[in-house]
Amino acid sequence: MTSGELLRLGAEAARAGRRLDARAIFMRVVDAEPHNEVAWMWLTGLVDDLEDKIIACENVLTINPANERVKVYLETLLQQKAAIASQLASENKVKVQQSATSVPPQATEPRSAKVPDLLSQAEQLEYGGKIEEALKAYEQLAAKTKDSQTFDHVYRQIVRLEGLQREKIRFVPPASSILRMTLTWPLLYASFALIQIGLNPIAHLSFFLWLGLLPIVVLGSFLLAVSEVRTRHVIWKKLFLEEGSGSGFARIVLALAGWVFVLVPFALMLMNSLARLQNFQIPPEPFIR
Amino acid sequence: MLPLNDTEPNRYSYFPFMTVLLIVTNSFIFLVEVLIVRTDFWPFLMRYGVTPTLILDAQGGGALSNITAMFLHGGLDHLLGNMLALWVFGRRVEDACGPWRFLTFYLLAGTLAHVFFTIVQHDSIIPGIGASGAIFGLMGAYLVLYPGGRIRTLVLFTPLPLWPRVRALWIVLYFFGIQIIPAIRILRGEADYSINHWAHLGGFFAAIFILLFLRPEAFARYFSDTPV
Repeated sequence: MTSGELLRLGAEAARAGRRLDARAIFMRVVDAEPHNEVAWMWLTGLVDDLEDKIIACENVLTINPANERVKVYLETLLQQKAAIASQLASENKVKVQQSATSVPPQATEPRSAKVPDLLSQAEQLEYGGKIEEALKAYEQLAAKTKDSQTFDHVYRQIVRLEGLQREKIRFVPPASSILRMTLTWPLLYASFALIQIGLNPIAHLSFFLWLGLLPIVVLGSFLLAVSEVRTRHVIWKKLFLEEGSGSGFARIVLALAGWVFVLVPFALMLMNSLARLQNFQIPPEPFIR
Repeated sequence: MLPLNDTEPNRYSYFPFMTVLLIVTNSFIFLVEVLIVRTDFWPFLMRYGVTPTLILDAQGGGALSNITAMFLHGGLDHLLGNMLALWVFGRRVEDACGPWRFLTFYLLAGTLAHVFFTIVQHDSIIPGIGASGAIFGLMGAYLVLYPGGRIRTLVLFTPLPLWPRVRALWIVLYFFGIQIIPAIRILRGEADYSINHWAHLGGFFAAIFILLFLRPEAFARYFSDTPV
């Protein structure tokens, strides 16, 4: 297996949350190619031990001294290391003084508590079309975060946004994507309804019955579109009391509701078709040349 | 000229789940046709095919027959040709749309194919079956999304068979072009064909809707003059 294939497998494993598998795969890559920057980059987020993280960052910088993000991340790691060292030293001092009190490790909590807010801010900047600012926000976040999973997520967002910038991809407002995607299921439903009434709405008034169900399909299609397009929307706040662009749970619930709304009118129409088929007299087979 | 494969990789997804599912479903239904229906084919076709006179009289299966007709095939060659084209043109269209919107577009193209067929051959009592209307929709969509795409194609016009990578534009134009004369002859009442040319053309025109079905990023790419 080539290193490219291993990198892809490792990235898939990391995205799927199989950290140990991913780590093992990237370790195989760096064993075979000690100068593989991408593999070392992934390892900075996959190894658990602080020392190992520092080593991975140093290796990235040895290979590519211009990697600014890893420089910033390494500085953060070194600060953490220094903080832990001073904390240990003070604890030892306290032990020596035979003090019975112990201090809970709260020093890092305020900073990590801000990470979800920063992530949400960065996402909102992106959804608002401010790609440059979003990129800066993600980069600050990459430097701040201590959780390797968040770091992976943020790193992927940075790579994606840089790719979009490099390829000069235009910004499309999420609202227009929602509108566009909302039209898909109603279009299919309307075409089915036309077939169902013999392409003649005037002769077959049942068309208006099917037309009456169209708003339900529109609603379902809208919910499906909102659940897919990542953006801040009033629906998250109203239905799920959530800020930002909706949690995974909220998206799944909204998508399920969307599917129900979309499928019920289709199911009713197909039941009507079945009833018609049951009463259908099959015409005799014609003579065909 | 037989398109064999699109050699370009996917951008957004690893596996064309819906394309494969459609191929498996079509093949399974063909097996059911061959093994279970066998001789009693006429009533089966009248129930589950699209017959213009029945559609216009609002008789028979209506919307249900519209769906079932897309999954029925008249022979092994009909099935294999359609499934090969579905694989060649469907995989990257699915990649650009996502599996469920791809299915919606596929059904819409098949439905518009049946609408065209019904309108043009309104007095026909011969049922139309096959996935080709929907697949022509995919070919049109492929051309809209990947105008510079290249397809590995088996060319049999030469003394020795060749399999070059041909611009998708030429392949789609070829398949579109060979529909035109028979379609005109049908319209003028000069000839009957066992191939449903007007359904093919109708499916092809469904491609004008493909932009509605794209993923947000694919849509942004389309309007940024970068490969979708």
